[in-house]
Amino acid sequence: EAKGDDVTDALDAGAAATEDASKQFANIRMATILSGEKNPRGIPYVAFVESVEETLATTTDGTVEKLIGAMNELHQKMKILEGHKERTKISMKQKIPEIARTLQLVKHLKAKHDADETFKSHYSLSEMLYGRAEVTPDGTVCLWLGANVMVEYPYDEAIDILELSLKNAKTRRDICDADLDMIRDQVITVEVNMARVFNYDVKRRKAEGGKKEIEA
Amino acid sequence: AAAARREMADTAVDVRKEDQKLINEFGRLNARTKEIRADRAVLQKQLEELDDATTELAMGDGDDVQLMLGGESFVDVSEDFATEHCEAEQERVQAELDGFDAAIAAAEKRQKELKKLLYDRFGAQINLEE
Repeated sequence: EAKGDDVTDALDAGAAATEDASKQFANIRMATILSGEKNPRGIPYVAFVESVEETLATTTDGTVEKLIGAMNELHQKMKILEGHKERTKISMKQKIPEIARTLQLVKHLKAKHDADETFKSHYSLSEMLYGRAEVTPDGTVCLWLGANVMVEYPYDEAIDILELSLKNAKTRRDICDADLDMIRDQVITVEVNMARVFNYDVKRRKAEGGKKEIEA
Repeated sequence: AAAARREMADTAVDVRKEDQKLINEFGRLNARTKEIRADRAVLQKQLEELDDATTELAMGDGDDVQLMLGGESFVDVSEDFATEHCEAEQERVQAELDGFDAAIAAAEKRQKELKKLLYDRFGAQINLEE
């Protein structure tokens, strides 16, 4: 009873704690390339460049090199975060069916127990070895919680814990989805921003080149 | 090539905020469709395995039926129990597959619309193909 509460508390806290990504973006050299707003996980929104000229005016020395440099740095940080979120999502996607299958088995045990029946099974002794057993469901199961900890629970409690675990995994996966959508938007926006700054610079150089020819 | 780039920079249509939104949406749909297709392939394989299982059950004589539960154990069950279980799984997987197909169709439809809007505005300046 007390043990169960500790575990459910820990699982609940794990789901509530959302990562804060703000720190990773704290050192972006140019504040103006960010809009100032962040999503619920602290990931900053990229500022859309309305006018390249105006944005250049806000940089410390008005050079295209500095601006593109800062945007490139932002792009890299976004890509790193994107990779991290993708990996977390894959991890959750693997966990979810695993937990669902475990739930299925516990429910089967419970059903047999309630019907006062035993059942026979081939169970895994090791990776390549199966043993035959007659299982008498006795009302409890042991859940492996990780970190060399295994705890015994009555069926109903085990089912509650597994269902909470499943819910948390799905929530984390959904959060990853939302963050990935948002991050990809920011990545594409930065890429388009950079291309426009570059094009602006090419245009400007050409215009200046033309002027010099006229003067000469 | 440098001359072509200069010419392009001259005639470049500027990107407005609303254009950026459309470009971003296109990118998001691309990524999502890719993922759904991968998930769909996995599910399709599961459905085929379930179909094989129900066929075997129907053909068999009802003895020695074992159901894989928990991903690691094989539990003795009656033929009826196994058939019921497999059929329920088939329904569930088929419904999920149908969901995927609907999502892919909706995404492709929207991407077609976005392509028209973006190509109309930017022409050769933008490339939206795979």
